[in-house]
Amino acid sequence: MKYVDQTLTFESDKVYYVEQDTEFQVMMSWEDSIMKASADYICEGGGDILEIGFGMGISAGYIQVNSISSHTIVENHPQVIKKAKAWAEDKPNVTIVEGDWYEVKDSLSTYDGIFYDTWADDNVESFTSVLPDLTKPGARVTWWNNFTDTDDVFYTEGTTYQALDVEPVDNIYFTKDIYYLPKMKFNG
Amino acid sequence: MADIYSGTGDGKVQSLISPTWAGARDTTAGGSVLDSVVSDGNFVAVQRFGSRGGGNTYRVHRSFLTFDVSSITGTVEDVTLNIYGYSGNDGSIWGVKGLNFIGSLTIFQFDDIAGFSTGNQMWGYATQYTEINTGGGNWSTSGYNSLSGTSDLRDDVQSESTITIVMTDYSYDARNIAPTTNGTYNCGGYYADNTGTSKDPYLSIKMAGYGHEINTVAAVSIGKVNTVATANIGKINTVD
Repeated sequence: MKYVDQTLTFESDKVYYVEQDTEFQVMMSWEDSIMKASADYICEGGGDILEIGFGMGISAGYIQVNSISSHTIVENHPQVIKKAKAWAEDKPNVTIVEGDWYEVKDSLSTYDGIFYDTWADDNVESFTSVLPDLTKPGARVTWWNNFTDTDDVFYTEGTTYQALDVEPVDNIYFTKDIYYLPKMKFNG
Repeated sequence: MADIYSGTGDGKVQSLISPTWAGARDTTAGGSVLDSVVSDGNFVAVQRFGSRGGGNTYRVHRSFLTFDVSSITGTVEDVTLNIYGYSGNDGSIWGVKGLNFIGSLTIFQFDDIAGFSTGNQMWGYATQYTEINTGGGNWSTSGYNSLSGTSDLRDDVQSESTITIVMTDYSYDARNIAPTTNGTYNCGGYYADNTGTSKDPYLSIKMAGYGHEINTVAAVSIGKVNTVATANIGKINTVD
């Protein structure tokens, strides 16, 4: 079953679904420090911000704390879209774009900051090739990095990494105690 | 010909889901045991799931069959392992020699395979007990699948009192190759916990010296011949 067809369960510390008797955590609250650091980096220059994947809304909250012009969120899971819309009701600079980021990419604008954080993304390998169409000169881009500073699958020339000490609780997607936050300043 | 059925101690050990292939496969302990299971679509399987940020997660399933072969005496000519298939034939399957365990199956049997050490291939290292079945149309999901035993299996059936056969995926697990696309690569099968024995795993053991044509039965031995099948009557050349 595709991810968007899974029934998600929302708890205070995680969002997950169960398939074949196994719990698949999509996002968890232990990531808070990573979400804050990611949000702060892409908002360093202010301007228009694109967030691909809403999740628990942790990073979205940190993006809103920064001084920005607009905040566009692309989300594809129906249950998360409802959560994102409810969250955005009192935030006039937020736009929710429903659908798979790859399918709606041509409807998007260009941005000063981008945070890409998706789950079981069929178009994950297109992310770096699509980036030039979504970025303004000097845009700051980061993404969820399951890997290290040497084997990040989205590494692009010029990317630097900030090592963050983390303490993940039991989960299926990230088990290391250091998270390497990618930092890429696009088109110098 | 003798048929020896798998003991009800058979079952499956599956790894934890891990963000790395090695984390799922190259572990000395699985994540959970299914030892009272009737059938399983993932009798053997490797799985790759999508995850965060271009990552993937993996899980490996291996089944353990035990056979009490202490009743086998004499020379074994041939052994075949028979497994009744269940839904799932997108993978491949083979049997290797397991280290015999006492009592119940535990997570620590996950890598108890003779000749195999975690991190290496099984292929070429583990003691191969059966032929490879490549799955798909070659693996019936509604009938028995016969896997020819190797000479190692034949020799152990002849010389040991109990044997353990570990069934694993061949294409990925045995060769230590991570799947490159998301999916479940599996072969399904029944265990001995299924009611009755009509779908239980079993060994067909052919003993040497049986099935040969009888050329002569001495007069003093005629009384010892209990039955001659109709089809075999023509093979008896002489009766004193």
